[in-house]
Amino acid sequence: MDINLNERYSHRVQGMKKSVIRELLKLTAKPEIISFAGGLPSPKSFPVDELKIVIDEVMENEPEVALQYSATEGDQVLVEQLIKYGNKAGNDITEENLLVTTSSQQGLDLVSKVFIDPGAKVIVELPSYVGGLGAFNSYQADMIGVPQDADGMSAEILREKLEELDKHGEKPKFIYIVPDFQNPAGMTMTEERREEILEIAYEYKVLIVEDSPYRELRFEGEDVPTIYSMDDKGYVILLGTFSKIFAPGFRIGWIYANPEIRNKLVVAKQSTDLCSPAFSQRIIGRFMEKGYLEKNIEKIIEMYGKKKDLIIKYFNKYMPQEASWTEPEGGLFLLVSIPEHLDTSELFEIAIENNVAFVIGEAFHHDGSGKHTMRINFSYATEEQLHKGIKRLGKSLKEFIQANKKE
Amino acid sequence: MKFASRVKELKPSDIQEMFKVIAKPEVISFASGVPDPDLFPVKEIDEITSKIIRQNGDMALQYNTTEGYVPLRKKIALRMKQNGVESSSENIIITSGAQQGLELSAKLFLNKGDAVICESPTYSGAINAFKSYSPEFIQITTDKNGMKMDELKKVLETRNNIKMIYVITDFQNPTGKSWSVERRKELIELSKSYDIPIIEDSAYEEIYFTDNKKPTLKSLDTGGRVIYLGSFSKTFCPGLRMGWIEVKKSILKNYITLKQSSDMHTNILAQMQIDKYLELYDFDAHIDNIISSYKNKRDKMINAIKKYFPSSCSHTYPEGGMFIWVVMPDKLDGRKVLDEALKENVAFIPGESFYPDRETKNTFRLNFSNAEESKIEKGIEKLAVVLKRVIDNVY
Ligand SMILES: Cc1ncc(COP(=O)(O)O)c(C=O)c1O
Ligand SMILES: Cc1ncc(COP(=O)(O)O)c(C=O)c1O
Repeated sequence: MDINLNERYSHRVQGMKKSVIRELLKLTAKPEIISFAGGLPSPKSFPVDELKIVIDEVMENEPEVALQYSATEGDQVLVEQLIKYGNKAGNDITEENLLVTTSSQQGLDLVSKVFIDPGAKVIVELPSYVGGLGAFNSYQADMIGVPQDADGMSAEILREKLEELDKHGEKPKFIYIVPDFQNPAGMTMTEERREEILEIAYEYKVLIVEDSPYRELRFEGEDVPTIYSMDDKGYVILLGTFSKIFAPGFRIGWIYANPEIRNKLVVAKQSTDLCSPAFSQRIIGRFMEKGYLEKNIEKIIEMYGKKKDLIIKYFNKYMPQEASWTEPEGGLFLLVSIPEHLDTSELFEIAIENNVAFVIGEAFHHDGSGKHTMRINFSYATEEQLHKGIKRLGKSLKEFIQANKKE
Repeated sequence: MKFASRVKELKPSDIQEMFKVIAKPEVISFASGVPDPDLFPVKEIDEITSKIIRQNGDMALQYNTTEGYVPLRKKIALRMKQNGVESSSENIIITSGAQQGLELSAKLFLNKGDAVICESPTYSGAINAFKSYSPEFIQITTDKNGMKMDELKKVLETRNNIKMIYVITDFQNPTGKSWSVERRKELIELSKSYDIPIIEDSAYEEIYFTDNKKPTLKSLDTGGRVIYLGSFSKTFCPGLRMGWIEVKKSILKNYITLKQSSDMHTNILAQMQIDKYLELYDFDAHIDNIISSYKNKRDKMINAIKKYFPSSCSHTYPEGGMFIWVVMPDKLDGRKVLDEALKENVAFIPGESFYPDRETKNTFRLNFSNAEESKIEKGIEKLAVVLKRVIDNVY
């Protein structure tokens, strides 16, 4: 008889759901569909020519390092470059603060592994990055949502929630924030709000996990410092990644944390995958050394900035007045809201008939709220697709609103 | 700041710590567990990589599916079929090394307090991966044919919290031992009677020095109970961090969900590199090369051990893989012996970290794959001098 395992899986697995996005993406794979659903960088953002040069050099000069296991902490060349990079951006870090990861998703997994016991409380934004929610859920965290306002996570509501927990003698493990050009909302937390949140974190002695994969991609407006750089008490853990500024296929990212936390993360990583691929690490290290990364970031900013302007233009032109949307100053995403009584999962079906796709907002809310919102990615589509796709989306939305009026 | 309770269990690996000590060029090291970099197919990888970036860069640099690159999964399934496993690409998920296969397996099966059965000793990286999920370890003694089945049976009969059995049937890390075919069949029978999944870690399976490869547990299994962990680290190179899990489909889908939140997917360029290599080059011929080099080193090391080691130390005779295991007289502690050995500029790994309870001290592991061939005899001779001295001091 074949093995029967359903009762054998760990509790954490029994509580895990299949990703909504993954399921939806399957529907959007048809070639005639223009998809704003994925979170993919534009392939035009990949620095193919420079990469060829660097790969040839690494394979010529140092293949025995690039093809061997690396230290768990990270490849020496990449570590040096990351320290320079971090400091240049205003984050005061040394080797003691740094861990190279197999991308930010691993960063989220490791942070969860090190902090979350079953039932531990974690504060998340409403909405929040779906992969963050997935990672916390896989360690059986109990999530508490705090909504955003125009300046970012609401400090007032955060305080209320912490106060309430405190009354029961409870302390969340950390506050999870995507402060820059958030996935999914595209919003950026203001400097004042960052200060406020950090003060609250100090007051209630709660760590902050600052997940910032889009930070480098600012098209307009003033730079805001990282929460990590504002923190002088070791409360903030910052997650960074090369996925959006270099290439996601390499799966390389980094963590900054205070040395005590960082050392725990190193040990957790050791048992998770021993080390990140030395090959990818060494190549990115040399790529940075040659100054290619900065150039590539400039190129991407210009490319995505233009796409953002276009998509806003087409929104203004094609979307019905019932819709509103965020206007991000950087990143890859924006969030569209429709009237509260409407559900974007119903709109999704009409949109697919009209050959256009997005991600329903519900996926980004740990509590299943946000049904009247949807996430739009503008980095992947070509300029022509942006035009056609938003036209189709506007048409779908008008049909949907019309249909709901009649009832 | 309060860490999760699992963090108490997590200790930095001795092995990683050791590397810092033994990096000095004058040290003859038998410590590391890494493959010989001289055998990496550098030229081929260089050619392949240029080709992929040129022809298929958009895909090689983009996000990809969690389960992995289909052409590679097909090729792996085909290789597994040639080894007698009913496999298809849908039974395979690509992992970031076999280490991730261990991590995900623990995450999939273990609640706090569940028991996992393993060989004694066993791979330290597996112990650490499992420890993150706070299980109870039940260690089963091994003899030259593998795990002792009567001991295993007794445990299976009397315990009801056992979630999985973890074994490395070929050229085990750390002992170099390989299970007899008979034992493998017995294990499959027991897993069937007690309906317990087996995690088969095959990191060294293909590095065999004899004429014939023994059948994997996976190929003997008919009930879908074996979860097979594969790795390209020892047959290709570790720097790409590539492994896979072959398992029945209904279990595979849970691995996919778990991997998604762990690292989304494995480096796609690396997947395409290996896929292209398998397409364009003779992988088996490459493995044969590794085999003949390691076999040669094994012979050198065994001969030196026979020549120099005190007779009160016993050792294994591996028929594959990268390691030899030494058992010293009871009262000796591998860590203390290492301190002495380092003074003579020779290094190994004390055996303690290969036991979940760290109770057994009088053992150590020698690696021959990464040792410089010309220094093997010299290193073993030095080590023998140290051994004789410490034994004389203690007894
Ligand atoms: C907020 C956020 N964090 C983390 C990630 C994961 O990125 P990666 O694992 O590719 O570094 C993403 C990717 O979309 C993201 O949007
Ligand atoms: C028995 C065993 N399993 C798994 C691994 C991990 O290998 P990988 O590099 O594929 O993660 C090793 C590595 O040394 C090993 O010895």
